[in-house]
Amino acid sequence: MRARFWGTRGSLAAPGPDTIRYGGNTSCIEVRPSDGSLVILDSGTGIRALGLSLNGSIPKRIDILLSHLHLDHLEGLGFFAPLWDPATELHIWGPPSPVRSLSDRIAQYLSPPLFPVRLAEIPAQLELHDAPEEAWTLGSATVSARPIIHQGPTVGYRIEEGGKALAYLTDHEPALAADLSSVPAEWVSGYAIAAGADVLIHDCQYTEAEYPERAGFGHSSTQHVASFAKIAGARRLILFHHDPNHTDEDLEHLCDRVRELWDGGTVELAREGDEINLR
Amino acid sequence: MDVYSRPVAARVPQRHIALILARDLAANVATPMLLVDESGNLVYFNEPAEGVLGRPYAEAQMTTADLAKAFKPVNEAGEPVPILELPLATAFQTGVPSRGGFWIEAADGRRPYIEVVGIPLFARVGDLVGGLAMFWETTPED
Repeated sequence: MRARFWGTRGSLAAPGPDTIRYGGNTSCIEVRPSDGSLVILDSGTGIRALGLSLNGSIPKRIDILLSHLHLDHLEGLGFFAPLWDPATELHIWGPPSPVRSLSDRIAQYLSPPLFPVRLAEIPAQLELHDAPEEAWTLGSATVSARPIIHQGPTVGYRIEEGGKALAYLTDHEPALAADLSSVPAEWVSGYAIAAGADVLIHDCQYTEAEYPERAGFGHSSTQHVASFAKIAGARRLILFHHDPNHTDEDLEHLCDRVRELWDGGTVELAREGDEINLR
Repeated sequence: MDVYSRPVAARVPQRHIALILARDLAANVATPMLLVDESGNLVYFNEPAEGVLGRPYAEAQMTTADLAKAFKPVNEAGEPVPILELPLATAFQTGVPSRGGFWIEAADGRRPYIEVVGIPLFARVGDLVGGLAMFWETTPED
């Protein structure tokens, strides 16, 4: 299984000279299980370039796993080339809501006046699914989803194949509900998704100095992500959902700080274009 | 598929997010509260509840039956109140909040009258993940 980052930024796309090393596109990761099937984590602005990279060889079936429906995770969907190909079977999975269907919630964005075309008019063969409680199979991989702490219905995903696991918790504030230094792991949001992951891709939007004024926004600080990686026993931590106001240099300071706080595995910054191999 | 061949997320113990958030609420309010999991096992009560129940919370599970034995809900005549008639049990059975009052023989020997609101926690329609009870000492209405 391999994965490639197409968008690493959180909240708002932030292109420009200050973000050129780690990228300005919002959340999108291409995951390729060993059978070559295409699974996409979130459809932020990065999904546009992913669609173009398929260069006409669009797989018949594509699965998009949405962590939640905030715009930075959804706004690229309308610009994903396979959406406009009637031969594409596009399965979109997302967090269940106790109130409204996934279709109704996505249609709120994919409809006028926010978008010129209605969801029902999209040429691709769309199938929308609430992320189930039981694990399911996509190609040669097994996927699990669990609700996690963020603003509104949000899930984390775990993709496993051949004994390797990639955990994706892009917008996540576990410290909102627990003192991560003392609470048992079973009471920590996201633990079931991240436990023992070979690669943990996790929200690290804020510095410790920034966090107090943003508590409750649904994101983690450097200290929180370090504590969470320790609880989860992750082997490789990739910091994700970069704040749009953080320059490349800011991000490198932030990464250094996480390395000071946690030495249980490798720590790096998610960077547009980088690939991960899980073998 | 045996349990050890299931994906890790399915066998790693973690409370449902609704219970995690309810515990955080309980830890930050002055009203006595307790939480049970989807099977009715006691999984947490807060510090104000310790004052009413007369014993500290330990990080150990306790079944509903153990809970009833430990806190001995009784009626005015001192007769035990059946577990299934307690508000939280009623809430689990009916799927809607339930309210009631009774005495308890607390672990510290006191016998306060308490009123209880039991609330089932549904993560989505039909998906019961636990319940919470808020309670307070008061005097019985005539």
